[in-house]
Amino acid sequence: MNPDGGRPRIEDDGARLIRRAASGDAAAFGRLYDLYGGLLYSVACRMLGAAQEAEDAVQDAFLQAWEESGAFDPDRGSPRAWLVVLLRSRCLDRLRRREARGRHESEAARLEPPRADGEATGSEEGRLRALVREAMAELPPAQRAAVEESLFGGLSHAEVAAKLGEPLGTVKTRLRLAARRLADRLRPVWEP
Amino acid sequence: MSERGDWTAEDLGLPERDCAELGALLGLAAAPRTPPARLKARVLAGLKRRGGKERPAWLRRAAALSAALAAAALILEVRPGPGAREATLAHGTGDVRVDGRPAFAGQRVASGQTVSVDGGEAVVVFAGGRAAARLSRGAEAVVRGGEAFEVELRKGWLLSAVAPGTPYRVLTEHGRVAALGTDFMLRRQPADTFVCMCRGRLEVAGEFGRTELAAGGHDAWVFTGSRAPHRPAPASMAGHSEGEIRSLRAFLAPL
Repeated sequence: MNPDGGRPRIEDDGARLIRRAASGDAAAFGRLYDLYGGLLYSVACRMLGAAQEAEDAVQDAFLQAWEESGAFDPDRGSPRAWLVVLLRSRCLDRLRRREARGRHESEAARLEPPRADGEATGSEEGRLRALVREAMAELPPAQRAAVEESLFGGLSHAEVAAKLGEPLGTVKTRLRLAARRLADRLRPVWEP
Repeated sequence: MSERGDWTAEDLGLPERDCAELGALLGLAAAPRTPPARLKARVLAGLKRRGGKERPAWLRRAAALSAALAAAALILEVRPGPGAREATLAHGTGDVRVDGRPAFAGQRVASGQTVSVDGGEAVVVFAGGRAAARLSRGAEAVVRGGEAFEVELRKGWLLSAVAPGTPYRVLTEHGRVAALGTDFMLRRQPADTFVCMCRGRLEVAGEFGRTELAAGGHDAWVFTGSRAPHRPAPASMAGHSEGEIRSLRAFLAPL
């Protein structure tokens, strides 16, 4: 958040850049990549566990964003939410294709190690990251595990339940409770 | 069979915008990784190639499918072949049933039969690929033949992808929605029907009369039998993102 707790400035910048991209400004789109490329790549690596596939998913998401930038409406959501929604769809497509091919092997070993916290990040991203981690850390461990598997693993609730060895109803309840708690804690970021 | 990606507003009991914003923000909890420098170059090179009509694989496939579809649609319009009004269950995950019995991919769905989905999703393709409807988990719909391809949505969500010029309608107890464009999503709600026009136009008819809706992209309305479509709170892309629409449109090809 901004020091005054308001809407992150990076989001205002992002919205402006998307508007310029919609009019064909490739340089603005490059700056949009600079703002969000790291986040999208991190999420793609977390979801797909394979660096090459993550690159492909991020590229697809950005090219889709370029094509659909005219449809972006800042009143409906932030640039970050818009881009991550696009990316998650691309990652889920890849996970589904992987599942359909029966290819379950982990390619996590191909990933480079994560960078140290704060390294190569803008201060605003660093602050947000700390806020999110704090909010996640405040969750009971069982809720946190369910959120991570659902959000990053791209798993259905039934799959999360099977993986965690918990009843489906318990997992659903945990996810709802965790989501509500996280939203209450983090809502000021997108709804100042 | 399973369904991936249950991070939805409905599942989490959150407003749709909160769900999307929260999902994006939690991305920051992923281990931070620096993308290789070549990735930005790849992305920007992709933009340039757009100008030269060179597109990524998924877009090339979509373009090829569209071209094939356009050709197929033209033929079908001129001379409908046998089974032109038939529907087929093209894809299913989770517990998909037709008239209460477990269904299988490739199964023909006759007019009047009910497709229900529990814990997964199902894609029903009409007339060899002129329209495709994806039922989300918890959805129930009756497929009907006749002059148009019709789906009566009784519960849940239905995303439709329709080839231009295809007579395709979705019915709920609140009214009838006819495709004049291509892609739209309906959600049957207790008191009303939510419709998101992803692109093109729709005709909505009910006790309130008949009206045409046009959209710039993902504009949403709700309507009841007595009240014409009016704008609800801002809609999110949950359940019908461009990626999900594209994956459904992939079924719009001759089977």
